[in-house]
Amino acid sequence: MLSSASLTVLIYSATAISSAQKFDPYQLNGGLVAAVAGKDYVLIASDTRMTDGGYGINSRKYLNGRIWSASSSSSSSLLQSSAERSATDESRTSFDLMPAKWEPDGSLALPTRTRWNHSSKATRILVGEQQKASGRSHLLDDTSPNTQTQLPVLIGSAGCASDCESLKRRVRLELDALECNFPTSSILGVQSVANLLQQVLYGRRGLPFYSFCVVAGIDNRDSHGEGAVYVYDAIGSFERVAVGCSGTGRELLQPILDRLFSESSRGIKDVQTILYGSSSSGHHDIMSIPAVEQRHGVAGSLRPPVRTTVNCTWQEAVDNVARGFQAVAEREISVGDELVVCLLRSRSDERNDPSVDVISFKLKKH
Amino acid sequence: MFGTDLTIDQDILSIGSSKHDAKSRPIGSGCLHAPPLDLNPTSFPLAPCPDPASFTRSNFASACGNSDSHQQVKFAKGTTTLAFKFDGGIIVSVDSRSTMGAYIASGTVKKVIEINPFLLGTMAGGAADCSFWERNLGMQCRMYELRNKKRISVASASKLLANTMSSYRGYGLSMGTMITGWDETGPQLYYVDDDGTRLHGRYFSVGSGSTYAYGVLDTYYRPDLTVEEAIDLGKRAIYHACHRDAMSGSINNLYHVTKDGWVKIHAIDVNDMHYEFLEEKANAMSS
Repeated sequence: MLSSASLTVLIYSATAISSAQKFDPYQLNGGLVAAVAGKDYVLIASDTRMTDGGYGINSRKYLNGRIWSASSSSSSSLLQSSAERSATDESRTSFDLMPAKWEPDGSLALPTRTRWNHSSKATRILVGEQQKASGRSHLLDDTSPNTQTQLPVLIGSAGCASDCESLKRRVRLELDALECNFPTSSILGVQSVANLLQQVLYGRRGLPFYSFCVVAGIDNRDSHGEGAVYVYDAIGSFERVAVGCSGTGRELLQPILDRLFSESSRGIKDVQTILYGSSSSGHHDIMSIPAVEQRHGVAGSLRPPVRTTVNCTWQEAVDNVARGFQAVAEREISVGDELVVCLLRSRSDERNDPSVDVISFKLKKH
Repeated sequence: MFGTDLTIDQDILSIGSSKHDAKSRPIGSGCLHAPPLDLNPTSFPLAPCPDPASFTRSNFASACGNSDSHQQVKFAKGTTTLAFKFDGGIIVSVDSRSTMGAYIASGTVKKVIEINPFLLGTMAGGAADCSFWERNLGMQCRMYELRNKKRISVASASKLLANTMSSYRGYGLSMGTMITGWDETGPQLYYVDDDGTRLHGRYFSVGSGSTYAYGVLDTYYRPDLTVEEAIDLGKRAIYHACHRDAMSGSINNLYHVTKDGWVKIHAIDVNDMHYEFLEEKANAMSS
């Protein structure tokens, strides 16, 4: 009797130890987010599939923890979509722009859709023609950019869905508290949000948020209305880039986007020229900035030795991202269903006002 | 003052300097802290299991090499960095690749951290660990300047970082760094790592490609190198490391520290360097 009791205790304590050693709080819920910074726009994109960590699909319309605003809801609701503002704008562009709607918790609401967008070669040619047309009208009414309304800073996160959710709450809580303590200050710039996110992520170094983020916003500080994108690892190491993506299938998407955007940045269509370069030195990284063009100095921080914006128009950028996601959805099981692109423009075509729009695309459903 | 220019480290400097203050202002107080300066390891939330230190060490360590291949969470890492003192000052030369497993996470990482106009730190190991703690070191150095009205010496700056590292010892942090700069005692070079080791020396190389870089340095290093020779040595050592070590590569960033502070000398794609050196070799063979 006594021995059996002690045996039970022994077994119990053994299982307790083994279960403690197996402590595994993470689940990889899939999701792929990408962001692109342009000269006067920035876009952030995510698919809407959430998997259960294996082959099962939990949701096909999940966007809550994927794209969210790191600005207080009061400031972002003021902004208009260019689609809302003028009906002509919609007919001019090949994409169906929808007004961005926000959930009370700051995440981007899934757009209710009327017409699907397609990305194809045909669309590309169309975009090019319209660009010329819109370029002319842009010259006609060129007013000074209105910087009164601030665009929100958006964060995209993928990985463990529950960690992304709690990261969202943490970051937004910090921002709301900052606004309460310093009510006179305007909303944080994209660089400050990037620093804040590093601090929040590293604050959990001992038990990280299993969440891989990108930050996208318009940099109003020294470059007037240029897009800024930062990409992170799980514990807050970050870097400013022109094109960044993170989450499941990042290894597939990043090289595709690098290639698509380096092509449109230079306007080179010849594969031989891209692969082997025009010079005899062989490969050259198209996005890298040569040392002679970098600043030399003893004070201040040097900018990264890489271009932090792409040269193409937002239409081309949206098209490139859509094509990239479609390619990844063909080969990666946890990416699919729908692609939501959120586009922030510091000067939209019609009136030079900042605008926030949402564009959605169909991806593979199976 | 608090416009769009508000940054978090301004916030840290102005508000939370004491531990008591930090504790009385929990999450959501609007002043997010770096872990407080007197460094209590429990100020980071830890895993709720019997031995959180070993949990973190075995699951979230990000040491150099491929020791995290079993881990689910991989962090950005993998490096070659080197720095050496010579008669004309100090040369700091690094690569710019960061890998997560076999995936090249970035080819444009800034591995030299400009702590202030007279101090440089290099990063090897976990990218987040290095950038976070060297930024924290920058803050501590600035606090020293404000309190004492003079620049901090390289010896004290490296000691501050070594103290930080030894207080988090055993928690699986991964950092191998060189702190260099010019102070009242002249050019100084220290090596500090995550064990709390702090060494003073003439030249160091850190990271997965360091053995290759040491090979070049040991052969060609002399204290009486001219500045041009020294720059060329720094460049070649990184090139050879990048050529043999798959986890190093991309761009070679090179800095020169003099008594007037640091200057960035160049940023060259290692691949371009390869063809340059190949040509040089062919010319030498033919003559």
